Amino acid sequence: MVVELRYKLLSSDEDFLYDIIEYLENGENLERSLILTKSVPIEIKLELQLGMSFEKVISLIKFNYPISMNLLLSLAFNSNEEAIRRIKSTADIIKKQQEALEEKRVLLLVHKRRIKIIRLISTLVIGTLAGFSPITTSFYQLINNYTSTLKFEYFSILSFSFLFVNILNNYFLMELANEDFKCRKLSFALILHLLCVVFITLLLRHIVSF
Amino acid sequence: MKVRSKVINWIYSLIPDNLILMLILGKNETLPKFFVSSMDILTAKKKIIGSILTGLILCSALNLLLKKFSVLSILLALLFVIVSIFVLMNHIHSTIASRYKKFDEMVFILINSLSIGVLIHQSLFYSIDLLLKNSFVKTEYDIFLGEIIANANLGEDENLLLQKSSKKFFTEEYRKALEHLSNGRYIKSNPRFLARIKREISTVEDNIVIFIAVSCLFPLALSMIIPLVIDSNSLSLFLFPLIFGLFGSLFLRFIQGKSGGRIEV
Repeated sequence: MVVELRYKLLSSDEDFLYDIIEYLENGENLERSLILTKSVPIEIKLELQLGMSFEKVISLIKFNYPISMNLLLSLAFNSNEEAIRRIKSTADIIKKQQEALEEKRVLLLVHKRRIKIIRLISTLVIGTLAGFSPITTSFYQLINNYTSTLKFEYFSILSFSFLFVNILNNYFLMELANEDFKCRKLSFALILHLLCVVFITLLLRHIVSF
Repeated sequence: MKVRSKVINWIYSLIPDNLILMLILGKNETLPKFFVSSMDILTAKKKIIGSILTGLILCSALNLLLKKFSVLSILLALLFVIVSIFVLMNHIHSTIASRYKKFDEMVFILINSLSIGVLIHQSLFYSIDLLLKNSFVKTEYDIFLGEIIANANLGEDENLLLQKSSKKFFTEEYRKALEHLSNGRYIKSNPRFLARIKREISTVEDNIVIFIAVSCLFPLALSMIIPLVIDSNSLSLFLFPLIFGLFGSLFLRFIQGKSGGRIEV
């Protein structure tokens, strides 16, 4: 296995590009502007001074977006004013996109928190419904047979069907919020549901025994 | 080991690829086939076979529990298989959609670097070759460029080739820029991207309202009605979660279609 030795940039992609453009506009060539910038780690500069070609040195850098490398690679051998202008406008676009994405990221974090709360509450609500299933069962018997017997069993088919609904609901909400560790959170929801059912059945038994 | 892998390959070959592509991409094919890798198709096949096996196990377990053969258990197992295939394919669809979105977000860097290459070297294929030769990391963009070079080696026309490969982009601006690359066009700004992000942000609020309706009110309303209509000791009560699964995955697909793939945080 070949171990890839790659060095991270010390600043963001667009800042690095702005630095390079500035030096290129002042009349330096590509290699020299790479040495002059402060956003490149010292190892890269050493490799360049030891005689590695510019293209290879560029591919040693680990960009935030791997595709940013292409922009500098296309400048290989020579550059002119028009090319520099194009790189500048590209860096501008990257910056604007970054700002928009950052705004979206902050909003989505709030969204994730909201969905987390909805998930918890709906888990509890469905668990409670499942806990009250003996009462709805007796209602069915009352309507059909005009008699009913209240039996507080912990688990019935109705409460199991609610369990499936709960797990599916949790899964959908997690998919919507794009969360990690889905299995772990699903098992947590399962335990919460079972606890809910047992607690409410115990409560009902206690009330009826009085 | 060899026999086993042969058997597994034979089982996989039973399911046609076109069917899986249809299941993943949907009827409208909003995503180009370029983003569906062979790995995705393989995982889809694995998931389909897994869900069919679980359906069989479920069917036989129900029959054993009831101690008699019932048509209802077969129907339930069939519904379970359909719902699980629907949910799992939806998951694969959303991963592919988000991959596509990420590809499209940064493709303007590629177009601009190609335009610089054309400006300096006066040759499109030379500049593509230059980019391909020096990049260590293999990304989707490299595969995209490699396809162009491979078709060019077969002797296709340059303009026709660019027109064909521009169809892989989601944004209209990027498509036009790639088509007119030799005329010196490049991307100066992308207002469409910013507009799209703003629209996504506003749809996020929408999604919550839709899903509260589905996830809270739907089970609540059904739980009021269903126990009064169906006997609580019959297995047909399991229809209720299956219906919920079908509806939920439909809504999820609807929401993700509106915001163009999974919402990444």
